[in-house]
Amino acid sequence: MELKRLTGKYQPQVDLANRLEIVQPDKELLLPGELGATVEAIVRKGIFNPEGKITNHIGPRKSESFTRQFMDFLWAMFINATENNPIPIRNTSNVLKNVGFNLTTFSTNAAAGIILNGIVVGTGAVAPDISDFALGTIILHDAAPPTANRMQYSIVTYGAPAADATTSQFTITRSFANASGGLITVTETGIYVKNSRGDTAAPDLWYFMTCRDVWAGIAVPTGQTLTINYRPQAVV
Amino acid sequence: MPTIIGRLKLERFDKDFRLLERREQPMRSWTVGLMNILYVSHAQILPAAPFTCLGDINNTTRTMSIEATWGSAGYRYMISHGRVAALPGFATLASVNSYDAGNDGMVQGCDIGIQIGNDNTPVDARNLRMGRRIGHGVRAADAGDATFEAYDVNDDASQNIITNDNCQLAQAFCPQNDFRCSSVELKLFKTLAPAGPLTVEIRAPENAVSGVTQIKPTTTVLATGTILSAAIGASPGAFVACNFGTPFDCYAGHKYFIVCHSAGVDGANYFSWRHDTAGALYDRAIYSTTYNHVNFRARTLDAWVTSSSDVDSDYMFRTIGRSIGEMEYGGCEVVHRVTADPNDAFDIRRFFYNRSGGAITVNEVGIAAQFKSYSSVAGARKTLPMLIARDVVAGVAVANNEILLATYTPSIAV
Repeated sequence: MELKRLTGKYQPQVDLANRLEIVQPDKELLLPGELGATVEAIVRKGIFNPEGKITNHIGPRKSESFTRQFMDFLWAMFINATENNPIPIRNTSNVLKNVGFNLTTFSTNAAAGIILNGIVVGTGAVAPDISDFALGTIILHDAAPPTANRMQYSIVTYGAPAADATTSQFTITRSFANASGGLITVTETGIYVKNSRGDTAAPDLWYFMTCRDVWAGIAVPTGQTLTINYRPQAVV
Repeated sequence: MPTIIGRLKLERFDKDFRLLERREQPMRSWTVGLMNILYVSHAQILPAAPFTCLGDINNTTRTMSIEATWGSAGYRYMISHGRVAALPGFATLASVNSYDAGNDGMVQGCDIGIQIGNDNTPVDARNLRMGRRIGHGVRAADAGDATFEAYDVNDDASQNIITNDNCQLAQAFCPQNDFRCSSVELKLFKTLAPAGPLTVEIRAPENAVSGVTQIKPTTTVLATGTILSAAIGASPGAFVACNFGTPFDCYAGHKYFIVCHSAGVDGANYFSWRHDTAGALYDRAIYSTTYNHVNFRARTLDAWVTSSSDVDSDYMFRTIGRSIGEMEYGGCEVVHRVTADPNDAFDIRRFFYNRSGGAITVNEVGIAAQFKSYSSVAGARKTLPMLIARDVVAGVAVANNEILLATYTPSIAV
């Protein structure tokens, strides 16, 4: 076999894929034995456009996670607390409510435009604490865009539970569209759950925060949509 | 960052409650069952479109949902979802739904709350049951195979398994003890020369259906084996053993079915199962408003018929296996809530008393929670236990007359 000497210069062409996004490296997720949540933020171009180009993607990262209210509801569930001997739990208005565990407990299935429960976003920046009962400053729903400093809350959707040998989880998802005309920087997210008391016709409906996270700042330019995925998760 | 972690503590006492041993380890253990229960609540899954999960502590696929609002008291409608606090032993707790058919709104104390077992297979987040549960009671461990639930007398007729895969027969049973069922013996005979084999299965029952008098087998097969045609003789019939390839742990107070069918039969060559159609009948079977005993025939695959001629009898059966010994389950308490910012914790604890006569080694501890399997389809509902946590421990040998206290402490800690 005759070897040929390569002559001339070979200049490999390296191109970037025609795609630009900012992806933050994953931080530490849950460790074995932990019950917590991961959280993920995705910003896309467009108003509620699931095919929109991703302009920012943070996480999934370990959520700063549960507040005292989550433990309160876990306790209420485990003992099947009733209205006859309820558990006092602090609601999002900072009022202790006497809660019995019933079919609405832990409800996060908010419709579009509802900010009382489901995933919520805000602009507060105080570090999370288990005694937190509400976001620092909630971003209101923009019912008639454009309204400055407001976002449009989508319906809450879910991914059903799944598990492998080490991890089990399910997903709670909500999108927040910025049609306000200006930049909105989200610095906190959380989960509000609903509980009720009384008859179907006119029940008392109360809302409680079970989870809160603070972010360095998720910039959501006008015309773009932020999607937050919370994944309650357990690792063995 | 506050997630929920936990500790598992095991303390062994003598009969005078003097501490003999204490062990503590991190809790590793929340499994997919907890995610199922939390998901159904967070997403408000309703009976019209229930969540299908595999499954309850009998490895059986079940649907899960919150109950639909009922009448004017809808929001006050307390549900059994996620309860861990439990009564002692076999004492039952209603699910607070008085509309449940028969006893299917009840759950035994020992089926929820902290569980113990002696299998040390590593924890898997998909675990649905203990590796091998130590049941409630005082039974000593079996040195060899023993007969557990059985009905093997007074047979006066037979039912045929006669058409290619068009006929199944099912007999319900309800064990009085936890045991690992490795085989069953059925009183059978054959006519002429069916090719066989006869397939024998163990299955769990469906959810109860309000207003329906019988509760049929599910399609989930928990254990299976075959009996060759050559092993079955001609009439009048004799007990023939069927060994299960993989034994199945049957739980005391839980209902199961023995199901038989065969693809190797026809109109002239078939198998027959002896049964008792009159007199004292097996009365530990599934609740029925009309009949005191339940068995079924399916003329097409899993299409179980409910006429009196099919159900008002009991087939001849014996269940064979072994118990690893029993301990008496105390009540499961959820107590000692301590909140001191930034920490928050409570205890889940249970005493277990060994009065079996011999030592029992505990290698695993877990937690089961109650849930309601509820579907709007035919209004089927059932209260069931679901494993939500499991931990493997270095073997704790609990001698006769000693007491074991297991304590889980989930906590938020920064």
